[in-house]
Amino acid sequence: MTDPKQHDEIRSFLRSGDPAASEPLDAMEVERMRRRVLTETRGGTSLRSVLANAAGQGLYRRALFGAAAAALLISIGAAIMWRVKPESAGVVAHQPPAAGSPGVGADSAVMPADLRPARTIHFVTESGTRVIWTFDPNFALYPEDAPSRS
Amino acid sequence: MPDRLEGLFDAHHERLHRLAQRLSRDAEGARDLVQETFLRAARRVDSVPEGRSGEEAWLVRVLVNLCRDQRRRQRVRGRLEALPDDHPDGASSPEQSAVARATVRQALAQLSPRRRAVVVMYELEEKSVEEIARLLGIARVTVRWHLAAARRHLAEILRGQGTTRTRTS
Repeated sequence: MTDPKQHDEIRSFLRSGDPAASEPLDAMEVERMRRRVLTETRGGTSLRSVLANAAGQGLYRRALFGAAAAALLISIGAAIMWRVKPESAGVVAHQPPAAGSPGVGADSAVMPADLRPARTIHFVTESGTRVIWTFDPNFALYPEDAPSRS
Repeated sequence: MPDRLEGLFDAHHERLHRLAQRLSRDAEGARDLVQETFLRAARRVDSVPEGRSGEEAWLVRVLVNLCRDQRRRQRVRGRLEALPDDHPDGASSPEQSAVARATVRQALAQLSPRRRAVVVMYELEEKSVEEIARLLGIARVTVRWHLAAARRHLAEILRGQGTTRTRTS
């Protein structure tokens, strides 16, 4: 440890040659430095600061909402096109019941559901993907309207 | 944002320049340190805390860290010079003060930047241990430890100078 006398010596040594005692910044130097610093903010806008500003103004939320709306519209459009295209191409096919099957010549509405043939709709896209919908003959929107099995 | 930065610059450039002069090896180095500190502030102005004391502490820490980086680079390049052993006798007053400044600068340059900052703030800026701890973001006990170590080191330098002067005179 240093004693108080030595401490005073150190302090006076430092003060005798205090580097800040001379060479203050002159006005021109200050101005040059200020311009350089301010130019950094105006000219050198970083991506990070742009994003930070955007976040501050709530632009993130608006952009996100816009993107979600656009995605929804695109998916709705795609779904509509998917459904319309096979029909316009005339590839919808109703598979008729085979000859001699129980449905032929009979009113299928009054036939027991188990005896009615399953209806199918085939979709074929241009690229060759096939989609086959099979209708459940026992399906009824309201249970009381379901066809009787007896 | 430029307004905030302008305010920061106007409020703190003089104080930072004084500190930079005491921490760096020459006037040019001090100017570079101050400018680089404000450039850092310009790039990250959102991370500068509000309020004068918070701003000051942030800027001082950046300046001391820059000083550390500078010293690391100098070490790599092997540019740290030894203290001059002899001083011209019978020099005129401006020359004497210039020599005294160079001696103090070189003595301080032997300390690590953080230790240098602690001793400069305590001995030359007359700041309290608590204030230094706040500005540098370190514990008070660490400030006292740096201070004691710096005094020991500077005392050795002074002893060395005393023997040199005795020898030369």
